[in-house]
Amino acid sequence: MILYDGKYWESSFQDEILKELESKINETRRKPRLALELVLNAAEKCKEDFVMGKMDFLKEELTKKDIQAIQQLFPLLDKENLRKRVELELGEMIQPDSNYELRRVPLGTLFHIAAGNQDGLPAYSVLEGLMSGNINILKLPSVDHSLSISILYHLIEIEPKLKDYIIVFDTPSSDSQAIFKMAEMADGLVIWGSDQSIAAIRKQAPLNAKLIEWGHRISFVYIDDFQNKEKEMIELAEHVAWTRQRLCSSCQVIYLNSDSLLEAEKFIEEFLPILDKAFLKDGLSMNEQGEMMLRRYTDHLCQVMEKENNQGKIYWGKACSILLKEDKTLEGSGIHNQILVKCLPEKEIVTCLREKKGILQTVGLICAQENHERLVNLFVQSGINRIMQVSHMSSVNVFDSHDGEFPLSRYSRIVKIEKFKNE
Amino acid sequence: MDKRFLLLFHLKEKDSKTQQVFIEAMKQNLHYHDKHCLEYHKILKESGCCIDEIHSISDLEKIPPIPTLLFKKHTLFSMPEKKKTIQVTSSGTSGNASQIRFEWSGLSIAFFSIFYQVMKRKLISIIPCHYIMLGYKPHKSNHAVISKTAYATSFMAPSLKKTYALTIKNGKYEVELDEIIKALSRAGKSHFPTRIIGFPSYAFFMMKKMEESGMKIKLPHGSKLLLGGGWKQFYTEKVEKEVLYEMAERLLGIKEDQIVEFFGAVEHPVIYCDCSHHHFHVPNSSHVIIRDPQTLKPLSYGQVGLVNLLSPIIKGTPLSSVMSDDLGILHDGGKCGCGNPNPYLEILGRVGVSDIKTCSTAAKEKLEEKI
Repeated sequence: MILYDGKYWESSFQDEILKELESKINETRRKPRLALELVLNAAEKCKEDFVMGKMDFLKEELTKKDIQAIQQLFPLLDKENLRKRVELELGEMIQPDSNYELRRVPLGTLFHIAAGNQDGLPAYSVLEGLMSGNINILKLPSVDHSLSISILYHLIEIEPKLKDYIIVFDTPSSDSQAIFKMAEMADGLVIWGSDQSIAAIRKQAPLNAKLIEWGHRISFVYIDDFQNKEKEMIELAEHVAWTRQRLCSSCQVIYLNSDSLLEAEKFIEEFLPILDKAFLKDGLSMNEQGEMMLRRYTDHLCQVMEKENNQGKIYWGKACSILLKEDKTLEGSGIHNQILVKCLPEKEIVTCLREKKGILQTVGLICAQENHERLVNLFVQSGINRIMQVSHMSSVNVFDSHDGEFPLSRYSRIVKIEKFKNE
Repeated sequence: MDKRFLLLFHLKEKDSKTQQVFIEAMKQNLHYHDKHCLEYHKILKESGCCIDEIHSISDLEKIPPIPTLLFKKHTLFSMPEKKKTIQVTSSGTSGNASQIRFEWSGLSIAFFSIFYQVMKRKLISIIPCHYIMLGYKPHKSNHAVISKTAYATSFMAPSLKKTYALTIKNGKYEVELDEIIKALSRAGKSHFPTRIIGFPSYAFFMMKKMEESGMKIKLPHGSKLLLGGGWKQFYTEKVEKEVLYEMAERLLGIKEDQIVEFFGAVEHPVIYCDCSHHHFHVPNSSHVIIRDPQTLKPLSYGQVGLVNLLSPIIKGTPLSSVMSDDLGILHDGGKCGCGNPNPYLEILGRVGVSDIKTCSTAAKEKLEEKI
């Protein structure tokens, strides 16, 4: 499904729409700049409609978890929060010279290539483009169902003037020709790290377009010392079970400030039943049950065959597993419902994390207050962008940066204008 | 006497005699692997399965199924390489590929089994045709069994020309959908029929591209669409069979009765060919048990579970009973209506979500790409 000119179109109209899109965009660019107030009002109304159940038809396609995840995003659509965000990211410019004016303006046209690991994110990326005054072309991820396109359609229903600023395509990543055409029309390519798309775009991106990559990131938990062991373990278990390692901010490895594997084993024995309980709370899908059984059964047969499992020692729960590994590398387990546990003494934090510079995101820190600042400094020096309590690792705040940068300023440019002099 | 070959006299529908032949062949095959593969011997012993106590079809449930995941982690062979064997791999969609060793005698039985099925579906023809291969062009570096089976399928009728969708360029396979569409367009003007063979995903992408450019081709009478290999990494774009069949008729002029699908796995040497109602009836050289994903206990018809595939025809690798990573349902054959009373297997998809790129795996790949 395509959203163009405020209407839905069948995917088969893609090439026809692409042919006329450039002139349509230029027509919009000749008009006065999009007023921020229109965008903020539409976002606020959209949030209200969601809360009031006017968009309940979307819920049929979503799981309970997805709906809860979307509800977490509601504060992000709050009008006043969004206004503060614009002020924070695109605030008044200091004018250093009275002969010139420095003016912040939109990049022009943004082409968003969204990832599918967080529901609603593609629509939110477009909203950020609108807030900075840009025309937005969105390529949906293949797993988005109809959530993002429906939200954006609803925004246009609320504020019809937005129809010229929102164009959505459901083009598959394999259609590189169409993607290239969209990229050619854009001043900025906002890439949210769907691997196939990133590779294709990097190869083919027009030289005159700015690449704005919000790539995939990796996060972990560091346990220095528990303050309230039971509570903190439950929070950690709930985070792992809730995010299922899908998000950039999901914990992939639990590091213990220790170099003793015995200590790690003791931790796992205590933590596994708590983690299991968290996974079982929402039940397992048939897929997850099947995968768990096959992995567990395979592991059992490896033991029967007396083949060494060089990947580490696996601890099995009913609904999840924990893999204890001797190395210190930050990595994902690559398998759902399985979390990694490793030892990482404090003195080795920087060395270990620097291996992953550029892809580090969040650390969930469990420590005593007197050690907090010292550890925070170590993580900052290592390249981490978010240092959070475990229970807030994946919570989203309207004023968050994306991977250490404010997006709205990246979607804008600074123009220098010499003041008119009447001589 | 090698009891596997007796299966060749029982290729038609299953009856009690066929079942007995199958059971005896299974027992002989199990004894062979027990004796020649130490790891398999340990697995059999630990499971408590006593081969000589297998007397009926329901006793086959006692054979410990080997998960395909195990073949991806370890090599298990019952024949040394120096014996006349060939080694192939799975397509490795989820990362690792299984290493499987086949011997020629077993492959010959597999060949006759599939030959019988394709004869029934009238796929053997003396009329030459154009082949559009929606898969890999064979290459010495490609050991994936899917490239070999697709290639073999192109010998069911004499070939005028073969055009491949995936060809080697700069040392790696690249998709050439535009070339394929051009070749199809040329084939549409020919008097000879065309056979399109390969992955359903590529067939869909090709037809979608044709649809988007408003292109329609009326392929000559007798043209066929032969699909196999599943959707693999494109499963999120998977469409229902009915959608694919409707597109084939509308865009290529290939009617539903000229579309044939195959199901197979490198770890299970028996290829399933669908019936005229597009159901995968279990051939007589194969047996299917659907197992509960939580307990591995056998389930009855109509219940969803893990697909356990059994066959006695290979000696090179202990493939007597393998558990695929597919979820499926076994249906009562009588409910199909095509006349084949053998139960039929419906594949629902792969278990787990290992194929889905999580944020961290994609991040790791990205880093490796930079390096």
